Amino acid sequence: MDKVVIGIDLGTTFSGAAMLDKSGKPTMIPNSNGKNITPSVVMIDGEKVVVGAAAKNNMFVRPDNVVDEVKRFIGSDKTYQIDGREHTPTSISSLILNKIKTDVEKYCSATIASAVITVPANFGNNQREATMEAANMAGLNVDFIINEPTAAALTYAKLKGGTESGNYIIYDFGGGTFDCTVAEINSDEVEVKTSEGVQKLGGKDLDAELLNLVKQKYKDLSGNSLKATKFDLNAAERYKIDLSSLDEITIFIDDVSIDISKSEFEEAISPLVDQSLMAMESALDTLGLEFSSIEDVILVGGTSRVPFIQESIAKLTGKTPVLFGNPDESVALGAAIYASKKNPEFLNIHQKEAVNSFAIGDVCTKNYGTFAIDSSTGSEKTMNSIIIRKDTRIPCSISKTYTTIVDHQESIDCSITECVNAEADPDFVDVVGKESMALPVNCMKGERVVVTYSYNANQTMDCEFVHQKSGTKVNRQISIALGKEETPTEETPTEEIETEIE
Amino acid sequence: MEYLFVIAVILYLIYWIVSTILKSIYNTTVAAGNFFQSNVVDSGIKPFLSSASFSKNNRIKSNINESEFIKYDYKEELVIKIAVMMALTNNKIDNEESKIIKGYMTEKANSSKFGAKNFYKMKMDEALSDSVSILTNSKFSVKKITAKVKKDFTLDEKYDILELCLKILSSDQKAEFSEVKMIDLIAKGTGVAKTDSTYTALKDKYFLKLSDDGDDSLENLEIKLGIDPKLPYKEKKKYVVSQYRKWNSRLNVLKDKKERENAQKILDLLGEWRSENKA
Repeated sequence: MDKVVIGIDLGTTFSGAAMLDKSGKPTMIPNSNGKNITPSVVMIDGEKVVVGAAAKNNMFVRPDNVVDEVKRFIGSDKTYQIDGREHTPTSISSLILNKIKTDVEKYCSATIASAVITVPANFGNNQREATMEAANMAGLNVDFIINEPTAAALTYAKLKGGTESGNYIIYDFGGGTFDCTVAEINSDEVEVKTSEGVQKLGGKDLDAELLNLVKQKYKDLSGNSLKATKFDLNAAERYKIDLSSLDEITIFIDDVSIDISKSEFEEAISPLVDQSLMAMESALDTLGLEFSSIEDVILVGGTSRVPFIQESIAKLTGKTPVLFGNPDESVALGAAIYASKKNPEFLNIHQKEAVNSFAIGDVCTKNYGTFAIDSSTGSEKTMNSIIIRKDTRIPCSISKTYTTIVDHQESIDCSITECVNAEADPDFVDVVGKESMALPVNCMKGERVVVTYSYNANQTMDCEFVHQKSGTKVNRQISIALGKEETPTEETPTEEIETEIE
Repeated sequence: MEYLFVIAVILYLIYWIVSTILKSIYNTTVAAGNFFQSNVVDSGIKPFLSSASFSKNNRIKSNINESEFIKYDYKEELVIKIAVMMALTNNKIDNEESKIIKGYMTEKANSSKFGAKNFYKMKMDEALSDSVSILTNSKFSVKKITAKVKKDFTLDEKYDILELCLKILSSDQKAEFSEVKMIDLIAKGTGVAKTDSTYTALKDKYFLKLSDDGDDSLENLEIKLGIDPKLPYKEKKKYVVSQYRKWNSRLNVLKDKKERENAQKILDLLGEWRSENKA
């Protein structure tokens, strides 16, 4: 049986898979219904599992059996009780991935040799690990996870052709999440510079605003509260699409006729759109760039079709945003390019040629550090000390030297912290690894401890804490994307000590 | 009778000599002490203080000026005064605020060992009633009251004061503009900048615990978001973007459901502000 390499966009509202066709062109793989994208909705009825449009159709008929927007909770401790069984966001995601796997293998009459899954740029380590776990549960061999806007940038670079280079903003307004990435695209080279993501901002939130408008008007006109069975989020989604081309829509519910104008809808969604604009400004601010130094704003994600969003971007940036291809498909297509680049052994000569020249430069999307006391502040409170800063080009290796704080100190805390914004307060960071290193007896105040974090190209990070005088060390590997965490090793003593200081 | 008088004089002299010696020993021990070293101080004079001589009704209290005797640290009184000042921002100390201040006093008294506990309690009670009386009956200057803190307190002690004030501020689950202004004044008076990262993080943590007050006016929005109304639009916008970046980042980290909801609410409010304030 043939083997294929695919890219998967595991979205909040829709998911899809893509591959390189025989000529090397990235192309979507249709599902069993012949559609390029599948609703990320799962219905569980006893032993029966339904994924996609059929499940979505039952969302408001059998709400207790249907789960949607699971991506918003992946990596959290949320659970779903369905027919007396407990399900997690990870297990539900695995059902969606399993559906994609089955459809792809059926359509291609081949097995999946390797897959790349995309995640929002602001996903934390636990969310990436949970995504990987879902892939494993679905029986997929996933070697890499890449950020959604990075995948979209790859698609843009591939499809636009030409040699002009410059900085681009990839504005990815999906069904459930928003991502914005600034990347330098130079022919076939894509170098990501920074990403900002908003986890709870997507087309679903726009639908909810429209639903609220309808509810309010229905109550004003009829005096009654609107029941979910009469008008739900699915209906709101349909009318939202209508409002993209019409100045006013009329919705008939019972004997009540509700008029909603485009301007009313735009006023309602304006704060949400402004959140996306702030994320975009924040990304540029991080890099010290102005909109004038941006070549184009590239639209990705189905929600970016909303005219008000495009107008708002144009007003802010002074540039008409670019809608290329199908914005629902850009991420999966880019993932397919990346998956093919990483697995040339499964490609034909045309496919190899298509991805050979591609080069991708990525950055660390989070700050990584450890807990320490900053003596320069005069405070003895524990703070988060950042070692690898967000947006540092990867791979990288950075060391920082710390000292013991008291005579006869017995141990040091070797916590590994993660945060998007450069936070000093320990309560505002995630601890992604925790160890303690025992110090030799008679360790005195001021003895040096060198901490080295090495962020590797395969999205793993090696962390090493070395007590310089004795050579005692703690090593730990954190898998940023692969979901594997190696057992810590403690060695003492050792001759080799890295002393590279930032 | 003469015989009894002589015995009484001798006993008084013995009492005077012993108490003078003990006082001298104690003063030497605590010369450099402050409140945060109180447990060290107590252990040095345990036999005397453990006799419970300092209960309110004990006669020795009226005979000996114990604030001179024990060298009670003024820092405690100052912290209480500032806490009362914070609580009185809206002109009254409500039950929750009172509980927080008393809870703080009890915690501090309990952290002292042996017999000093009652003494500390008594001194702090006095400081509390004096502060309430002074601050409710006359005008006061935050700058003057906090000046000593700025000069003599360590940075961590200053953060502790600000945290106590934040507890008081958030005790009613609401943050009024005057309260936010007051705590910023206290911070400024103590020498902690409004932009100090530890202070802003402390503030953020307490604001996350507040309930939604249902007031969606633009003015209240700016108070909640900490936007200085005097700033020019461009600066306000820049501040709003920086706040958006901060809270968006924190949303994933917060474990408590209510705190996560409040962080999301802050993001929504920032979006609303931005939507209502176009250049």
